[in-house]
Amino acid sequence: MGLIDHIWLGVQAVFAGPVVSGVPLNILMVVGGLFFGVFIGATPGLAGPMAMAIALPILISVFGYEASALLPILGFLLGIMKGATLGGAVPAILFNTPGTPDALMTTYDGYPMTKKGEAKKALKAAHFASVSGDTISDIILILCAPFLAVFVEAYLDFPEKSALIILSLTFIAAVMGKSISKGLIAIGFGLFVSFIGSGEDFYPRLSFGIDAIGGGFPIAAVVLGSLIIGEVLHSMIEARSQNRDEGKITQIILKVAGKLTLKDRVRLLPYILPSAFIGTAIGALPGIGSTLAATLGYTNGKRRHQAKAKADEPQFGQGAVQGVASTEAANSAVSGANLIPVLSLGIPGNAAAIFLILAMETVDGLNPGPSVFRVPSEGVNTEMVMAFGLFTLMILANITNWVVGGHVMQFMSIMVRVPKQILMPTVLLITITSVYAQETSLYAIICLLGFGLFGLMMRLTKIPILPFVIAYILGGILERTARQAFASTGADPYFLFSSPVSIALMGAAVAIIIIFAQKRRSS
Amino acid sequence: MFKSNLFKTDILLGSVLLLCALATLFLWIPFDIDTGLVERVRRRNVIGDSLGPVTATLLIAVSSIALIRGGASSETFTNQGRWHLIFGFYILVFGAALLLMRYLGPVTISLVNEFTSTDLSYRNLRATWPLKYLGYVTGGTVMLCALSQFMDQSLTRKRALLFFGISFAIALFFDLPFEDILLPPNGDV
Repeated sequence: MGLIDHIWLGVQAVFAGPVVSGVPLNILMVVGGLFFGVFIGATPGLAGPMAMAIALPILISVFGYEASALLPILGFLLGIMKGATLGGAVPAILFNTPGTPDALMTTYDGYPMTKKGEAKKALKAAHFASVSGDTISDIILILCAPFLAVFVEAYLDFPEKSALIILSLTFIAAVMGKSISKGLIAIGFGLFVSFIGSGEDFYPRLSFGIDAIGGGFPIAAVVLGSLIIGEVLHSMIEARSQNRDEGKITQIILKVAGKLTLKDRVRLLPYILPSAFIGTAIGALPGIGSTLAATLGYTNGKRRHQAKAKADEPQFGQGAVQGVASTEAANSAVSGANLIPVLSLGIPGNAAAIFLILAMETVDGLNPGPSVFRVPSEGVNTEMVMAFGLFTLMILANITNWVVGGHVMQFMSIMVRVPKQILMPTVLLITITSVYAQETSLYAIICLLGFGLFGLMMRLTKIPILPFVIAYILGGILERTARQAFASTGADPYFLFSSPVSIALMGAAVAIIIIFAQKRRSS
Repeated sequence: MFKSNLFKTDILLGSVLLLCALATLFLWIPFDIDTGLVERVRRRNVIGDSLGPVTATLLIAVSSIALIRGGASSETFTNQGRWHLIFGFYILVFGAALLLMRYLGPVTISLVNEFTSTDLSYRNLRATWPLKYLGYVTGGTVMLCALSQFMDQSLTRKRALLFFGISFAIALFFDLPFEDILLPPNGDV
């Protein structure tokens, strides 16, 4: 079967699944995830990855581990990912409170617009820019990921793949956090934890002879504990030291002037398109978050606005609708592009991608990596079918976002009124319950809370948490690839330097450490 | 709040991590992994189970040394310095909540057996109302109340009631629509 046949099968897989009230289940899951994501994004203190973390164990419990469960689960998670980015703009515009960290720049112009009575216009601009950026990013993903994967599969052997994973981990350690040493420590921790209870020997290594640890820690407990529980605990400690009156807000009336006309939309395109490409480029690199994309998009938009704006138009920071559009297009474009390294290399670049990889690794049907897009000489590559099913889900999510996303986000303004003192403990209990739903064992909860404490300690000592989680996920793959590389090179101890490509990749890893270390020292 | 001079720089963190890495390298790994860095299996050299953990530990050790060397100029740690209080509170709250979740139902059944001379088993009754929610909702409410009290430094009766409602609502959310999902601790008993 050829490429086109696989694409068509992927599209069919989305529509051919179970039907609920006449609508394919996969479509319902995408729409449900999108609504839930906007709801979460509109709630300050919550973010898309948090909702994905809570939803994933429940989805696995409901749909199971078989390949037929993959598309409904991924559909819901993708919906959350896209919806949360959109929802983050709501409190940023209406209440000067970013719903998600990457919506901070949206407050600079969104809130002044609200004060001028143009809240509706700001929300519509945010929606238009966000969905445009997301769509452009998805198109680039669909076009690039298969080719990148085919290239990697064709030209990189086991030694080069090992070197590529090392390069990715080094890059992530370098760009996350303020200290490269701490980034590398986080990588070391992640790799070490992934090695506990695994290995090829009969005795499960590093397990102290304890049977429960012998099987390794439950993956959901490690990832959700360090990422979500740690974050919730940290924000609880921060909330304790903050003034409780800070979060008070004033009532905003949405029924005010402020339409976004077709002419306005056309005039926003020169701001949206560059931001979308900036966000896509940032998203394609593992480890760089959407906050940087939003900052760069905003800065680029500001530069253009200063050169082109008319005298009577508000400047950036004073309620310029172009400021809202530049930021939202950039931070939304990250979400599609961050799947490029996931699908083509199996390397997650940010927290949302981690949960997508977690879903793919837990449920049968798709092991992300270069082999996904290998066209078989005969028969069907079911992984490629799933990958194109995933792309179809993304397109469906975008269509839903275009059609109803704007209306949904306006309804979500009420979420800002939930106090953190209620929200954070509730998220914690839901996370605990979700993990128990999947693992059905109090041991998993103890691991979850243990890694939550570990995540809190990392945050308090300012060791970045995401490199830890990414290294934990990649640890097993790196070891497996290294074993194969060692064997394939005839037990060459220098297998990482056995070809020009692997030497170049390892050299790049070393260069990244040196360059970033010098940069940090000089700054 | 929670200010402490103890955690002034990264030097302390680097030192602690370096010590842990050395202990792992020379104690934990040699005694808890049966194979070496490289093993000979069926006349072929293969990577042993030790290589990965040794590499990860060396990475931590070398990075810790780099952290110590750059520590003098590094920024102060986050100012929540009274960690022993935070961690003590954490262990106390979650320990108490998990114990309640795990044992309240079985203990209740034991007491009922004691006073009514019956021979009921929690395992057989764990899917029946209200036993299936008893441990979860009680433990959950205690957890929510304690955490909210920690953040707010006060807890009203109204909020405690709200948390009871939230715990109960979460229990219903997981239990009613999904037949196969078990609430804590019903999968363990």
